Amino acid sequence: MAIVYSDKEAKLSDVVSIQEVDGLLEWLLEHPDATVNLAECQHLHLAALQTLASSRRTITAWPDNESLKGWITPLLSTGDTPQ
Amino acid sequence: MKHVLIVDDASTVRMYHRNLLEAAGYTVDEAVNGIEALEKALEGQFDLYIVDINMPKMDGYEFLQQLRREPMHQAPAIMVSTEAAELDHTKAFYSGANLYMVKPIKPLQMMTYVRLLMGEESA
Amino acid sequence: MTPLLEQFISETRDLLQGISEQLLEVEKSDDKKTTLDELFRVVHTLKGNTGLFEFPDLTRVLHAGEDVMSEARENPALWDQALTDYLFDAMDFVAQFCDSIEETDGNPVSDSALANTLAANLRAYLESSSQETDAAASEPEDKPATKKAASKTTAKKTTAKKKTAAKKTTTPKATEKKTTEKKTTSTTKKAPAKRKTTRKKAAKRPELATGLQPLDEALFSVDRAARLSAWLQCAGHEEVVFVEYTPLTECFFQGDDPLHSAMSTPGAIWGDLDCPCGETALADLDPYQCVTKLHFISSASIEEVEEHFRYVPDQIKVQDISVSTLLAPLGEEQNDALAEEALTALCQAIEARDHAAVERDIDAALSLMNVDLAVANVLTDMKRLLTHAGIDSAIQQIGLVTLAHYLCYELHAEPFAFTEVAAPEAPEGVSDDAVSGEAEQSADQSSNSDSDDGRENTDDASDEQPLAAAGLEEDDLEAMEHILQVQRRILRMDSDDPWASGRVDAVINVLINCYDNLELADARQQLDVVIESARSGDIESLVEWIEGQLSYVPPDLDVSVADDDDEDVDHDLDDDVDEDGSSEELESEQKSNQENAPASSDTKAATSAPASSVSKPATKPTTTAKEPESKSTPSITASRSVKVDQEKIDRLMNLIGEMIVAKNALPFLAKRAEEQHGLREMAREIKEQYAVVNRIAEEMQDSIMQIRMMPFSFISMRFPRLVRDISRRLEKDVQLIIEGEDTEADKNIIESLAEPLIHIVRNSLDHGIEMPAVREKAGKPAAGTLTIRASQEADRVMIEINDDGKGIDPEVIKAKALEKGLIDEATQQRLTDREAVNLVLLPGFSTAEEVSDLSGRGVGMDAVRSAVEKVNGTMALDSETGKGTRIRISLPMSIAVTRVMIVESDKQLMGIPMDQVLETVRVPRSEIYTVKHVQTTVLRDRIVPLKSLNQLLALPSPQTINEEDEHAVLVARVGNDVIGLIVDDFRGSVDIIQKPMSGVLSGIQAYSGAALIGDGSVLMVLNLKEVL
Repeated sequence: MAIVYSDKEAKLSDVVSIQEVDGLLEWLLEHPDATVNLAECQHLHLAALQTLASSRRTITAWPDNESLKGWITPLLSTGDTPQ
Repeated sequence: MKHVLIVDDASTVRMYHRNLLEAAGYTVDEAVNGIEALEKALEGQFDLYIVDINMPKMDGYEFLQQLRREPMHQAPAIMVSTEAAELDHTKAFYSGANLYMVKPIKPLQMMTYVRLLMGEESA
Repeated sequence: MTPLLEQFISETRDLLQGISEQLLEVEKSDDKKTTLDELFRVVHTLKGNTGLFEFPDLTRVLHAGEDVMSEARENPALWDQALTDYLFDAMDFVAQFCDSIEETDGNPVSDSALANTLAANLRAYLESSSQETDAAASEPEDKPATKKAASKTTAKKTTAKKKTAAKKTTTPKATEKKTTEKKTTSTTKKAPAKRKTTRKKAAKRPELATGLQPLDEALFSVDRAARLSAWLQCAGHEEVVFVEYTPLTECFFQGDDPLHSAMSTPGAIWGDLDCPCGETALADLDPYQCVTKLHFISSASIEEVEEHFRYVPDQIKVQDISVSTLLAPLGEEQNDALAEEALTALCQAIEARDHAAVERDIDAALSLMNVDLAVANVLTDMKRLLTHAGIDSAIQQIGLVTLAHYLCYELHAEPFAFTEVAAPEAPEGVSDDAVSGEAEQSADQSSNSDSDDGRENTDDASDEQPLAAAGLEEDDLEAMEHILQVQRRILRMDSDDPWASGRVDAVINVLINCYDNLELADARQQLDVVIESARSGDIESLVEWIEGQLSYVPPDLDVSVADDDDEDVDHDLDDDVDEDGSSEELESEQKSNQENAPASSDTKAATSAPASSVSKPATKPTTTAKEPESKSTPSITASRSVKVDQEKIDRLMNLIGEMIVAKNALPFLAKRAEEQHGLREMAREIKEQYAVVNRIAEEMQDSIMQIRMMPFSFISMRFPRLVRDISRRLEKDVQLIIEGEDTEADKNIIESLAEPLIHIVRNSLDHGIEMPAVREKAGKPAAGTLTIRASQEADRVMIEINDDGKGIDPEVIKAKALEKGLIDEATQQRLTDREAVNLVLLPGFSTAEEVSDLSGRGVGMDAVRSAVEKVNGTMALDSETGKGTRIRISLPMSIAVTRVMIVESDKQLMGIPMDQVLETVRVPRSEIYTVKHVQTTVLRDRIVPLKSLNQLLALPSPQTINEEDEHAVLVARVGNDVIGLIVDDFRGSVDIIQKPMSGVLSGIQAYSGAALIGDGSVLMVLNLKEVL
């Protein structure tokens, strides 16, 4: 599983594919206050990214992968995100 | 009467060129591959060759290389292909083509070249 | 519809058939490479053809197909079933498209969505295979549309090298371009005046390539802060490629991950996502709609980027930009927004790297300014640069200086003279056309710096350029410039190829023709002079003359590329000589080389060529003799087959039919000559003559029939695809064996066989062959075998379809037949197993438990049977439970000529097809018994029911009896029954051309047709089945 869900946080790792999007969306809807941790995420499908963008969640950790971080940070850092 | 040899394995393409050329008053002969083209070229006198690259049995490059060995048959040749890659241009010119056109051919452009290379015919 | 379009459709169908065959071939073939090459060529031709018309959907699909083929050709290991499926789908689309063109008279209804899906499937396939190699560690599961492809990952893991191979073609150009770009930027500042002139020339440049796309808007739509961060990341580059990628909304369903595509772009430096999702409430979000637009920058060349996105060319916009453009301001102009003194002070502070002062000045200026001004934007950027964390101070300085330049420009002030400027570009000309303008400039610049020697000439002669000054039409001028460019390029290829002098001659002819046709007499005279020297070996003066004619001399792109290539082609040439070079040819080439181009024919030609020509006759004595043959054969075969209109053959067929009838009149004539006129001698001569005419007519008929003959392969070639598709859909494993494909039969027979056979094959796959697991359990190999065998037996064609499936259970059939009221209980008891299974041939019988989408379409085997019977065929079914089913179809080879037995009944002549006649006998009236109201007799210990033909046809008179008190009985097989038909007399057999009944007679079922016979009378042919 590329996403590990807990009550407070979704932890994305490796490659998040489009198959995970349904689960992610559902979880985000059920947990309106939860945060997202991207530290170990290597890549995420654009559909997943769009979902995260729409959720406007706090990103507790940005990807260690600098390239991915560069691409997605401006889009996801709309909320009150600690850098 | 200016005479053109169209070398292409696709009958549709041959017909397309034929229509264009005949409408402008030129006469046309066709060949479906390099081998047939070479035979026809050596038997007749053509004022222009329009040559496809990819053909079975003998391709356009090989045809031109063979043709350019025949002192009496050095009419201009236009090579026509879908490949726009630079390398193909070079190989075409190297093989003996005088112009290179990328498909789909623009009729006006084609006919401008044809007119410059062969002169006008009264249709 | 235009003839061209008709030609297109007809050729496309031929090509499709070829593709279909090759596709199946690839799956089987060991030598995939050759097949794939051939496949690529055919797809390529097909795609080329579509380019002649405005069918974008068609072109899109075929283009995708061609690209896949091209990749697969590089690496046959890429090939697998999923790819074949996609290609088949694509070819089906093409076929339907053709049908639609035909039906709509050239205005086809096109399913663009389908076309997109098909193309995307193929592309996604390519994409997925390259993604896997790029990121072999990660599982590419993010492709719902390509599930099949994904499951094949193992097959594709080996394709690591493929990508680089595929790119080879564009690389030389790309590298070239990059290096020249570098030079450009370093010289830009020096000569603005010079640049202007070259720009002007460039406008006339007969470059036939499409213009640059204006991307300014896209670039400026990127948030300023994002642009600044892009600029920072591009530090160290001068020219980059800016890309705007707008994926289709439904692209996720096609297996695309645009983010991955963008991030994996070669040389990707920076990217920004323009996604409105933040404004959509999560509950309202449709995550499967792609609404994001991607902007990114790559350090690769445009060609490489386009190559990467070649499957979605319409979704990307690509442009070379200079990095400094990223900092170009956007906003309202107001040239007095900042006082000159303030500007100077700011610039000085930047120059002095006094960042505190810079920041102070900026804050002061911004506080007085409308933030929408372009100037304000620049200042804000400067401030961002100053406050940006962890920035390299050198880059920071370059940024500030660049921004200062823009600032001066915006304020219409004199550029501040920064010392030690490392600024990549002067912001001169920044305006609406900033981007394209600069890109163009640098392109021109590159040519300048690269072709210094070439330029000397043109610069000197730049005031008088004969061609440009000749007052030609614009089109002609443009075309001429292009022609001259190319001829110059050709002349500069100095090689020692045997055809080099021919190449020069061709160039000379081009030049002569063009100048003659343009009636440029003066130039023509000059041309004659240089041609003269070119012919004596001084090609350089011809090149120079051409350069003098040109308004723009391009840099020598060839030199490096051509050198490599020449080597390559040289090898080719050597091979050629080995293959077919006759020694005379070589020697004469050698001679002409030395005569015409002594300068270029160097030692290589002089030494290598004779050596090979000497060794040739010794090593390959046969080649010379073989050569003319190998050259001429193909073209002869090409012209040996003729496409003939079906109607013409039909007409020929009718004529020979009449001829046979006419010739059959001769024996009647001979008989009359003898009997009525007593001319025995004459009768003999007529008979002799008849024998001659008969022989010729028969031969002729045979030849004509041959024309109509078609091999069984005409229909059997559809089966591999059919079996493959169906078995894959049913997830069964089936091996198809086809035998006797060259068995021939009449076109009508073959064609009428297609539908029934397809049905039988479907039935076998659907109901016959079991699932692999079931088979294994039953101790059979997991793969079922379906054999279709055609053979010729006398004048009939036998088709046998065997499967090793579960067979047909006779008990089930009997029960079902009983249930459907097709048989009664007594019959059920009496039927043998073999008879039982043949019940499925009865109308209204279908054994499938459920109606499947394959065979249970409401037509059962009875439809097959009636189709077979329509062409006078018969069929029988054998089955052994658990072992398999065998269906045998027997067909006449030709339906054109039927041999019939002529019988007489109630003074009328009637024909009965010979293939139904078992025997003719005379039965004494005493041996006819009446059993249960049915007349019967015993023939060879077998009870044969008898029917009176007169009774059957409701003719009132009784059947006549001969002197020995015997009835004439014709024993016939009707279906599976044998019956005796009582007639009045037999009249022998005759070949007839049966014509179907027409008009009011066509409703009479008792007769299958009518024919003329020799004495000129009409013979009605009985349809025994109906009569009984």
